[in-house]
Amino acid sequence: MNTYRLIDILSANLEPARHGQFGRTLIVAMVTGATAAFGLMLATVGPRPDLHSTAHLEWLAVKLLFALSVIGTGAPLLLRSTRPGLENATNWALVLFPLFAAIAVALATLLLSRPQAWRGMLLGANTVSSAHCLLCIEFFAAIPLAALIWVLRKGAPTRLKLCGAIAGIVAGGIGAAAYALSCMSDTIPFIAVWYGAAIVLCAVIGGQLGPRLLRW
Amino acid sequence: MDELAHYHERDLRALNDSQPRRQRWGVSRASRAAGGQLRAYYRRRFALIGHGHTEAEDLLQEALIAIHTHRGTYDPLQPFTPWVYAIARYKFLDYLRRTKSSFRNMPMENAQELTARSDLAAVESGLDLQRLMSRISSKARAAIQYVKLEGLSVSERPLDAECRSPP
Repeated sequence: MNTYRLIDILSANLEPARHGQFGRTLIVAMVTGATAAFGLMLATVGPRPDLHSTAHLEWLAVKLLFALSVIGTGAPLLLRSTRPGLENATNWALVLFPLFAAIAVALATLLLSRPQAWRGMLLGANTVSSAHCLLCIEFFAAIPLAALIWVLRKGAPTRLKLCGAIAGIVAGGIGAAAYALSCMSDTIPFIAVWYGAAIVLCAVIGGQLGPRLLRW
Repeated sequence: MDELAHYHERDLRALNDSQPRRQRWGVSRASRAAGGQLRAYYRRRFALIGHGHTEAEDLLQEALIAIHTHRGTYDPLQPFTPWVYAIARYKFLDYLRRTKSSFRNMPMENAQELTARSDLAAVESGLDLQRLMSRISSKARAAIQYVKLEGLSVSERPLDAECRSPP
């Protein structure tokens, strides 16, 4: 077909573009994914039984702060990565800031405590805590990641690996927030290492899925 | 180029116009201008990978459709041209991935054409050098010949050379 004819057809029946639409859809996907992740958490491992005591609520707040800051720094970049021409301005320092901040605080905590306590601080409440944390966060992040990818396909991501990786980070943050209610290990080093590792793993998975699923 | 970009900005403002008639006009103008620019963009790149104009035109149409369907991702506060080119570039890379073509599997006849370089400048500078070298003394000529043109070090140069390194 003649290209000019194609242009005429394209501009013949035109509805105005709705610019804020995509951002809103992305937020809806994140909220839906988060709801699904919390539902999944309640249905499988459930919240920890002693959640109501003040000390545990404080730890829950720390874990949620970490997870929410990961989501908070990742989400604006996720939106940018779907805008052609803006996607190259990814500020990795900002995306990774919550992770680096958590690692810095964890190192400080370790240096201030006795070396005998390090093992317990790093491995958590019991021997399977770390594996449990990794598996649960990946499991809870699966639905948010699927929701995000489904929405991102409606956008125009031009760097698919990058976009997938940031989607993985945001989904990992949502998964971590859901797992925080169930997590029994109350130390900063545990949060930094295992929550961090789970989110990085989510980013790797998202980065691998991106080029396959986000093409348009 | 800048002038074209300005055209786009103005036409794009018409994209958000509430009046459908003005809006259609803006889109048509913007698309035609973008189409012309993108055609040159794609033809250049398709020549590099050894594909013809027909494929370039197909991809141009695909890119125009993509620009049309993803027009919601354009932020009116941002310049228009980078947005168009980012989509065009994405579509080109996607085409390369899809067809698994790259600069490596370029047909041989095109390869010769593309790697051919004018060596007139090299020939000219060689002649100039010969002319200049003939003007200087034989000692200096030998020194320059060995050390500068043949790339030997001072100690590597032949001992029977007419010039001696200072003691």
